[in-house]
Amino acid sequence: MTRFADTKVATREGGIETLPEAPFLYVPLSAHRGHFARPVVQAGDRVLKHQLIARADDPFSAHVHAPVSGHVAGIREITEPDGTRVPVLMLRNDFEGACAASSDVWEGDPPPEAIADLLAEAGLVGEGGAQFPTALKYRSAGQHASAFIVNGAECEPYLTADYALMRERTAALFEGIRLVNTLLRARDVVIVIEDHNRDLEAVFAPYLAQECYAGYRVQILTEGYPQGSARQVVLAVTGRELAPSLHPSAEGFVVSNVGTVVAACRALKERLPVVTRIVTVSGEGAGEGGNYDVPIGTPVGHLLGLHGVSPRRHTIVLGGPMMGRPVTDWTTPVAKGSGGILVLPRESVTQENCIGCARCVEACPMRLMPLKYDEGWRRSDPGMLKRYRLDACIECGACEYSCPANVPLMASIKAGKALIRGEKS
Amino acid sequence: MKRFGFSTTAPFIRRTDSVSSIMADVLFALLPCCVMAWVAFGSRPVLVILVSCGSAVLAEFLFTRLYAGKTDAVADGSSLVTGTLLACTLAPFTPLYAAAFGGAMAVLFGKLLYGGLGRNRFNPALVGREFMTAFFPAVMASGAIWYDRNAVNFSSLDVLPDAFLNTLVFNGGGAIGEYSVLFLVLGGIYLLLRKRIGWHIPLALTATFTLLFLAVSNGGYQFSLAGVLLGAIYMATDMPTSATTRAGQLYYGAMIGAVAVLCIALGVRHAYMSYAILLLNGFAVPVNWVFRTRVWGETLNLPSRLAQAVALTAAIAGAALGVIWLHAQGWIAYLVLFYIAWSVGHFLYRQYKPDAVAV
Repeated sequence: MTRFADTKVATREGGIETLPEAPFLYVPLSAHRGHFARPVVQAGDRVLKHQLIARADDPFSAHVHAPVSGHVAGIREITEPDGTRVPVLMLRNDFEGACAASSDVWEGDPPPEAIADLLAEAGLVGEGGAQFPTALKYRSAGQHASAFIVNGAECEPYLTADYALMRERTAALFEGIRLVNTLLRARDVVIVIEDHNRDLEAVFAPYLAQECYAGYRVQILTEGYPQGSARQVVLAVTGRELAPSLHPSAEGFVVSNVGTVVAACRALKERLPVVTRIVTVSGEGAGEGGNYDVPIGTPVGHLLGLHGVSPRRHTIVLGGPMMGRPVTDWTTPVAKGSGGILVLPRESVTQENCIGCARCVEACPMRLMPLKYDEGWRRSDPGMLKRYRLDACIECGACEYSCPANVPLMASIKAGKALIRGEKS
Repeated sequence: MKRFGFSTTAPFIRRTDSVSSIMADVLFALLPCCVMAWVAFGSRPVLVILVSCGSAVLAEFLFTRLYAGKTDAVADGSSLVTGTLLACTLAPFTPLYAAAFGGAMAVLFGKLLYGGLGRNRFNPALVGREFMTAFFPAVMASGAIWYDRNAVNFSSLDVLPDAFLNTLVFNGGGAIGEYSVLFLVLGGIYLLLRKRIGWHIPLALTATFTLLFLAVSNGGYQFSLAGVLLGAIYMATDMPTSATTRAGQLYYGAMIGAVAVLCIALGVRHAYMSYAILLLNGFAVPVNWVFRTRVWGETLNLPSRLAQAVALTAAIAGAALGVIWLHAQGWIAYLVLFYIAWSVGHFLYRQYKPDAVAV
């Protein structure tokens, strides 16, 4: 696995802070890729914090709630770097913080059969990045979950949002695990953390000693990238290498990001929707940086402005440096799956021909031969791409990171997948 | 070919490494051997190295300037490596015009006509060498280019207490790169530590070569230890033309060793390493396929892979016998002519129908 220099130290110890809210928010109405929620408010409407503003019509989408109180300024579409157009609801913050009346809170725990509905109602999606609707994931595991893996492996460089959350929201994390597992009923409940976060064991110890959390265990994973990806985590915990065609949840291994589980606790105990998340602001150009509890929809420019970052001379990345996406429009919002905003030095890259050094083959966690994707793409040969199993690629970027010739492997992988899809249709 | 720009897609961080630093490491590893060439015969073999390098760099510069409008193509240093490696296989008193011809042909037909560094199928330095043999057969076959009594700088070095060990440090016979087994190996260890080569190809090659040589030799055959090491460490490990996966590299190295011994046993006296490496270069693509990685979650179909490996081995053996037969007939030059035609055809086809993606 790929190893990096320690870039997490900059933001690791700072805890979770809050920042002044943005005057204008751009709430994305997307969940898992290509699936959108339908707005239920119109331009000019006044909305209250936590009020439902867009409804999920298909199971791969998720409800969206107002992160602040204010007025709907309109709905527009923004174009993602990959070309998909995402509807965004613009909200003018009135800074009153007026909350919608919350639904009745359960006496004690909600009944297990209500849990998936409650999570769907709160608009929960996976906070690890893929934004897969949590209710759908837990339903697909049904009553067959053998392991509930709470994923605290944050393998992307710079990011410490999950670490800060595990350290500071530990009570909510454990309550979330317990409540979700009343539905999943997994025998093995495992919290996985990386080797460099061993200090969390002491934080978890008082909770693990409690009777209601009896049987939960913490597993330390070896460091490396992409250790936090679902299949790598399942292998580390269960010893099973899940083929790309198999879905971990369908096999009984439910993997949830720690942030998702904390959000689940709030949804189940207080019936609060997901309207904030913790974001790491870091990178060489971000000054001190830190971890912030930020309303969903906060524009990146607002957060960077508070850090005194100039847009020139830097590359701004939403997410991690390995799998995140570039930000050119400063109104690009923080979404439910965005773990970080990075301000990286803008370095010129010299792309050369692949020289066949096989560094990418060594780096690939799925044991693929990425150099063949560069070749197959150049030759527009979908047969070659399929023979060398492009379908198994998880697009983690470890190959391109390792490439001494800076071959645009990720571009060829994405274009290659499109080539195969085009051939099929 | 190079293209400059800023990252616009993930990943946004990269390991600090470059093609030019790989090439610099290879040159650094070969430097002591070049010094030993001076120790053996003074400035003449050094001049061969310089002419071969200069010609390779000039050819690359002119070609890329004319056909791609580039002026920085030589900056990666790969033509210097090609020139040096070619010179390492040449005799110390090779005529300079022949060395210049070889250097230019090595980069032109070994690399540039296929689209530059990384796109080539055959080791450029060895391609250059075969061109020289084909176009200057009398010069390359003459004994005079191998030794000149008046030029001898040191006939032996007495640095170690043992005579045999001294010959490993320095032995004043053979091609320019072959005077010091010690420095060839030390250079290889340096490249290994810098992760510029893997141990798989050199080890499999030398082990197979040794075992098979001992098995077939009854004292009648000869080989050059330094020549085999030069090939195993510096030529067979050439990244673009060798196998990529570890299993593939083990097989690839072993097959080079086996073909080299086959060549020796069937009467190829000097060019056995060159033939063996170039032949396996031609089989690198199927080797990569047969010895491809076992993808995550996939179960290895061992009988099917073994059957493929047996078929591949049979094909390589057949091709090796074909090359040895051509060599015995004195027809290798025709193979070179065919290669020229094929390379030019490939180049023209690429000009007519460029890669789907402009690089």
